[in-house]
Amino acid sequence: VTGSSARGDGHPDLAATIAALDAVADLGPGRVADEHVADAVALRATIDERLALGDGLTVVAVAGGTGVGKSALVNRLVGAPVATEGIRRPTTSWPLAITATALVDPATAPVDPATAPVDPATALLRWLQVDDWVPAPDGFPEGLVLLDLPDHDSVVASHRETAHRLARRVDGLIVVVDPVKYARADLHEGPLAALADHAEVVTVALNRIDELRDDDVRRCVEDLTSHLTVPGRARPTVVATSASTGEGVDALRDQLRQLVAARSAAQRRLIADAVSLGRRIGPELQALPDPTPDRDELHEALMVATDAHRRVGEADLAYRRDARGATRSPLARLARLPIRGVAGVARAFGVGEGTAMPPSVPRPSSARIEAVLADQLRLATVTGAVHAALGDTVGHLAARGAPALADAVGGVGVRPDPRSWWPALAAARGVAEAVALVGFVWLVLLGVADWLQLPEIPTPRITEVVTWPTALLLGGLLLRVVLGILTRVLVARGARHHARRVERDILARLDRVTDEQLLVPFRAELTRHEQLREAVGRLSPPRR
Amino acid sequence: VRSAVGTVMGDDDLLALAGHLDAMTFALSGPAAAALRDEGKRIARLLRGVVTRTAEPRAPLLVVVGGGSGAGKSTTVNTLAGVAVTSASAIRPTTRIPTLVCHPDDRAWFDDPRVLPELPRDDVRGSDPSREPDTVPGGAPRRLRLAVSDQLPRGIGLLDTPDIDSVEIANHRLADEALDAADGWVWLATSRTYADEVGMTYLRRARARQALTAVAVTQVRPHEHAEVLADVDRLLASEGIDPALRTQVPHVEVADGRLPADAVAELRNWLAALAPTDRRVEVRQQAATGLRSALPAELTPLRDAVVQEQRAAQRLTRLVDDRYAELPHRLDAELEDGISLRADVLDRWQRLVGGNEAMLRVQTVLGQVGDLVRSGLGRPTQEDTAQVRVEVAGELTRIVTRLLETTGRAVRRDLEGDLVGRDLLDANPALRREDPDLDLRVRTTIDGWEDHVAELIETVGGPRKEQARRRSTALNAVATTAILVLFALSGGLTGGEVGIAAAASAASQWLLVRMLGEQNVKRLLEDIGAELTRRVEALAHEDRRRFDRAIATASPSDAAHEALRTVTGAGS
Repeated sequence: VTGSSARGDGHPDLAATIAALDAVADLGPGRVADEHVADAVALRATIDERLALGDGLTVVAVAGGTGVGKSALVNRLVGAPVATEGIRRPTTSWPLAITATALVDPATAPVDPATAPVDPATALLRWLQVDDWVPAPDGFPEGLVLLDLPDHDSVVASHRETAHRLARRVDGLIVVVDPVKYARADLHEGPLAALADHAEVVTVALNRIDELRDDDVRRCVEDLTSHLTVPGRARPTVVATSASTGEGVDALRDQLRQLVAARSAAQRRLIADAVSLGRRIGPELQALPDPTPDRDELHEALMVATDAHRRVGEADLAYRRDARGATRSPLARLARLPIRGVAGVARAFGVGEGTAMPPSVPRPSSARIEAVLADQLRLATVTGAVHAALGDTVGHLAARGAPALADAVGGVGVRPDPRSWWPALAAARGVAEAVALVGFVWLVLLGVADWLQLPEIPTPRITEVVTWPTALLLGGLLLRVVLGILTRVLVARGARHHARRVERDILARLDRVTDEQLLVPFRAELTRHEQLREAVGRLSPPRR
Repeated sequence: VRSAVGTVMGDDDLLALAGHLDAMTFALSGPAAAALRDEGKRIARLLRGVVTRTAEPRAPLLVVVGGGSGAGKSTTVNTLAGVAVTSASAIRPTTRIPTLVCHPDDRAWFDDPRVLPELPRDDVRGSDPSREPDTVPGGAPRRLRLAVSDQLPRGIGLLDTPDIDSVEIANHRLADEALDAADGWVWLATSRTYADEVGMTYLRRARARQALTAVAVTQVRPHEHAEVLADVDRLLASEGIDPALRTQVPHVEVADGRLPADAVAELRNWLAALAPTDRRVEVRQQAATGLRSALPAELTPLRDAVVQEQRAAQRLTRLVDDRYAELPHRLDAELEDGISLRADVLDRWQRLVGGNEAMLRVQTVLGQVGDLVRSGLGRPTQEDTAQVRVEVAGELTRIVTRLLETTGRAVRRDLEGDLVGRDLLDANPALRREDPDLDLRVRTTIDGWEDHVAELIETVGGPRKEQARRRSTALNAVATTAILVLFALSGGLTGGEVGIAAAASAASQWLLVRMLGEQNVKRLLEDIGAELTRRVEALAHEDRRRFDRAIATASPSDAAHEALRTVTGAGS
């Protein structure tokens, strides 16, 4: 157990706290629970209001359960019987302010209290909604407004409300306990739990030590201190006092004087409020998934989702078809005429009227894109509100990005530009076929002439054995076969090249659209999350 | 009306209700769950205690001494017992182990496990209890210390309880448990703490249970005597609390853990008056009746929690419903986008159905020889119909799997956005993961559907001459044709080159009409379309059951709700 040593952490200054609160109020909606955002906005307003009232006055409230001797302690501190002490419980019903600064009673003021300029103390008490006040006797610290609060634990509910409302607004607090009540749950889990980050401005006074033996006082203080110790936080100062003997009251008064002299209690209290808020929000803001997905994996997943592979296949097929058609010899074209019959069948069934052919453009549903994104961005690893918020973002982006991705894939033409070698090859095949045909017709003519027993037509010979018509027919056929094989090889290679080029085009377009439509907006959302996390982190000082 | 509801409950009803309460998990109550569970267990114990009490009307009374920390419970018990049976100190809370002190003759009864059944007894006979360490580091052990004193009247057991207001929550539970088992209460508060809200909530509870209560204001100093007692009376009256005895214990020096005997004379006399058997039976009867009549009020928070839970369960179920209700529409939308087939498969299919009815001939021996020849030449064959069918099944599986995954993901997202839903996910981590078997299940369903289409075609075809032949392998081809036509009509086949898909669709349709007749085709397509939707919906239904099961497991049972509703008398 180390003392209140955590104070050395170095709190952020109030300006930084204000900036962080503004960021939380700005970025919080939809990303953290609404109540936290509301708390941030409310705290921001409280800071403005309190700062406007100036740091010339420090409000310190004396709070505690009924019967612990708050009023008696106040009277001891002030040195005059200003607060009512009683036997009946609860005694104090209304908060009472004790201040050295003279106040103008609005009721007796000659001018309209609504418009009259008010002195700082009056303004402060109005803000606190404290109506009763008494002037302090001489020797009371200048700049101190001491509040005697009603109890927080009696059967009278209005006392609790008043005590809690003021405990949230005042600059400093003296929480009074006694040997009977120091370990009460309605204290430690109530007001003190809300002040766990406020060690700098909270003092706990163990009152009525005159009713204990000396060694019991020590044990009591130790026990109380252990109850006040929260791991990782500073612990408020504990002072043992007795309102009836005056023991420890001087120490408490010194504490008050120091607090007032520093003129920073209000700021420190507000910063502590922000720290509390930061601790409440912090656990809700999970660390986020790594926003940079593996590019190759993402591309592959998007290619599948957008049917881009099919598009590449189509490009290959289109090239083969176009190339086959363009390299076909005139003879082969004539031979293929009957194939068109299929189109006739289609028309007979009223499908595909020739012009209304369904375009082969992939239409990736946003669901597919959403699935890819959720997967690639490892959304499954986050849980809670962050998951819901990021999931919505991804759904949104996918719905917006799907058409663009479809366009990116569909916009790449699959038809190849006609190659200059196609007609040449077609011509060559035509020539080969023509040569073979000439040879064939020649041979047929020779045969017919022979059958009709016409006189022999002289046939030019190339060699002793081979005649020209035979050479033409066989040579033409051979050339045709060689050209056919060549065409196949060239077309296959060309198709491969073409398909690869189309794939590259598609990838380049996908890459651009993915960046513009999906990743950049998603990163922007992550950045906002990160900014929010950072702002919340700035509310709370780093833990040790 | 309330008490009437409570008193008509028989012992069996009470025990059944206790069983329900013990079994409740309050898993849909968010952060309040743990407290509600404890409360349920407490009331279950209380109910069993009521039954025990009714069964043993003449047994000794259990009088529980309760109050806030520092009210002087232990001191008062010591004084009444005439011997220091428990210790007192300045450290709060002092007592962490409840101590029961009774006349030696009553010991056997208080040793009976039916009294305070959840507290194992801790015998201190023979040793000096005040020397024993009463506070145990690391939480209070759950046990009951039993002591005897012949200064107590026969028939009365005095139970010194831990406090009801310190930071030790375990103490409150022990105190609550003891007060639930009490036949009579002695409530202590000091002159400074009598107006504390925490203490008053217990006195209100005593009032609601019509418990026999003595209120003693302790540590009253002479100068405040009159004023404090008048104020206490005023406060009790304003709360409608009318104790059987209102007394005071003066602020006097404590010696050996005790006050002078006459400081508690009034309390002693009051206790002595309870001791005779007739009076005991009466008090016990009153305690049991009072507890029964207080049951509706005691159970109201639990009933409200159960109603809240049912609302939460409905809300979560609605989240799931909404997402799964979108599924059929999304399936239609997906199918309207058409199913996309691999270009080469589609190309071959087109040539198959487009090329002079090759399919109709593939059955004959000649056709099989032709198959061999054609496959050698790279022409479409019977193999290709199977390939197309596989391709269609694969594409459909992808579509349906994706739909189910997307729906599951959306449900999870909705649950993550809901506080109770998040608890549900935390309790069922499997809901955060995707179902690894989903793909297989979808595939099985789609295959089953394709088989179903083949069966349908057998019946729809009617007595045509091809029927016998279709029964064989060609059936697959016709079924595949029908499936393709179905998608051709809803959204068209896509993929492949422009024109080929349309040509394939048209040719398929033409072929189908030729084989089955136009009317039959129409009916067939309607049937298989509806069947696909039905099967996918059945799949979705199965898929959502894991969410429904999780919600159902976390929800309060209807029987428990009904029992609570009956007792609390909520009409509807």
